[in-house]
Amino acid sequence: MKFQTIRYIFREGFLYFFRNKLMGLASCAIITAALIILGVFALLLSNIDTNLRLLGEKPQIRIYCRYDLDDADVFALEDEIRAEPGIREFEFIAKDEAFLRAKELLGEDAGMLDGLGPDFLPVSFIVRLDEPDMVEAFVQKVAAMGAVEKVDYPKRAIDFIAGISGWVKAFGFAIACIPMLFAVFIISNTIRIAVFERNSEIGIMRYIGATEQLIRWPFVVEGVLIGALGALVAYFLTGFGYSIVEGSFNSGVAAISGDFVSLAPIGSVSAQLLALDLLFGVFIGAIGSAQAIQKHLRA
Amino acid sequence: MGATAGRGRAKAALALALGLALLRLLRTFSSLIDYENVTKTYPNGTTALNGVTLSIAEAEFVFVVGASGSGKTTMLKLLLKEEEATGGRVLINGLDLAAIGHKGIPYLRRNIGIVFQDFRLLKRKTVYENVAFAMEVVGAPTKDIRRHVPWALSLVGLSKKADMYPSELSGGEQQRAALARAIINNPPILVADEPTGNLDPDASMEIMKLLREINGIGATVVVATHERHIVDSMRMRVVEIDAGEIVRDQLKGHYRNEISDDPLYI
Repeated sequence: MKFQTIRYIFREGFLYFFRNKLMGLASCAIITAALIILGVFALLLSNIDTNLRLLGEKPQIRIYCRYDLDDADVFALEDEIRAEPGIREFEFIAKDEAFLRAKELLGEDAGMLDGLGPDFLPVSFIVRLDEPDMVEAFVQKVAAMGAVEKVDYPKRAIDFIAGISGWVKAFGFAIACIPMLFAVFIISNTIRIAVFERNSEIGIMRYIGATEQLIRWPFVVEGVLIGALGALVAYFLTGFGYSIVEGSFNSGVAAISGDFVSLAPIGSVSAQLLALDLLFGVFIGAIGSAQAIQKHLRA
Repeated sequence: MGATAGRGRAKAALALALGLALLRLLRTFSSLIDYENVTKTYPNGTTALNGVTLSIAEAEFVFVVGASGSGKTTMLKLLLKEEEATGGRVLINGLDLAAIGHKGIPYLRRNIGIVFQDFRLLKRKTVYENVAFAMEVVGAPTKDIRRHVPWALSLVGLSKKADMYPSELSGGEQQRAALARAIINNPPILVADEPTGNLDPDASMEIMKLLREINGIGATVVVATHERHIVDSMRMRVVEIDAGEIVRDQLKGHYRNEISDDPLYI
């Protein structure tokens, strides 16, 4: 394609876009809505995936000893647990330390613990294993030891997140697909109206020897511009909304859960979100307009 | 000595003149457009052309006359490959148009300038832009556009109205702008379908004068019309069609075969 032709296509495409403002903006809004839904699901899935991976990477197992153990028993238990294979980290939490941690956790309400000593808290161990697969067997074995009071590990959280992740993925995709198809249909109609309005212009172009490419591409450029504009608006709205949710979630839920579950900061996902929005916006715009003009040219 | 040299020069000049005349004769007889036993039946069963055979030479000026619905426009549409012949062949420069595929049509049309009764100018573009547009769609470089458009506009006498929009022009001026657009890419063939149908007699004559000028610089011009006074005043080749058949082909013809039959001329 000649440089003049490419310049012509882009110039006309931009002209068409600005001439067709009202319909163009309406289509932009539809694309924006579709991409916001897509973006929300993408962010949700990405966070679920990230949290699952982090949980899978280092499941933290907390083993509480019975209250009535003396130091010798505790050390014996420690040796017994340490003898298990596949332990990557082992941390001993003495009663004093557990007491300090409890005070820290309670913060302003630490006064509740006044008058109580560290003795009411059990000795515990925090263990991290090399492989997440070993967690189940390890926990069963340790729980069966006589000196162990209780074993805590994030089984339910892992199971819950893994459980919802599957259907969130499937439904997310399905739910995001419907507005996308709708957006393609709307864009296609917008361009069809634009083509119809320029019917005589297209007729003249055909008579003076314009190739179909030259007739088609300005409309595709128009569609792509509508898609890209819709994508940018969707990106800013989704990003803005996400940063608010992320801020309050991380200072609320995540803090309570000890960063057990947290949302990725907006900075780390914004590039992917922008790429996703632009990719789909441009794709929807191009497909919608190409389909509309193709129907017209065939007619 | 001087007399011999003079005779030699005279002979050479004569030979050159004869050669040029012969070339011109050959050019006249070599046809540019050929309809060979062409039939066109539309899908609804209407037969618009029935066994039309016609040759138009390069640089010729031809009027195609006949009543509305006689088949004039169909003849032009076949030439532009807007319609396909259902029988026979249409050739340009020996090339059978049936051999041109869908993708080749734009390139065929770049060789044929077209003028319509309703001008068909782009309303949102100025006169200059309308003419330049025809160059843009064929991918002409900007510097060529800047050079050629003013030339075409001056040829049709619209240099001073280059920046006006079609709605600001009279019918005659709009048709002149359309004519400038039709010739901007120097097509060897110019086709006009009722070019004066929407114009008053003075403007019509202006357009005809321009068509004649364009013909004078080498273009083959085919004009479909049913405007009697124009055909009669120009005295060019006239091909008359009636009910899809050629009923008359006359050099320096009139609109009607027998002038005496026409009460206008009594």
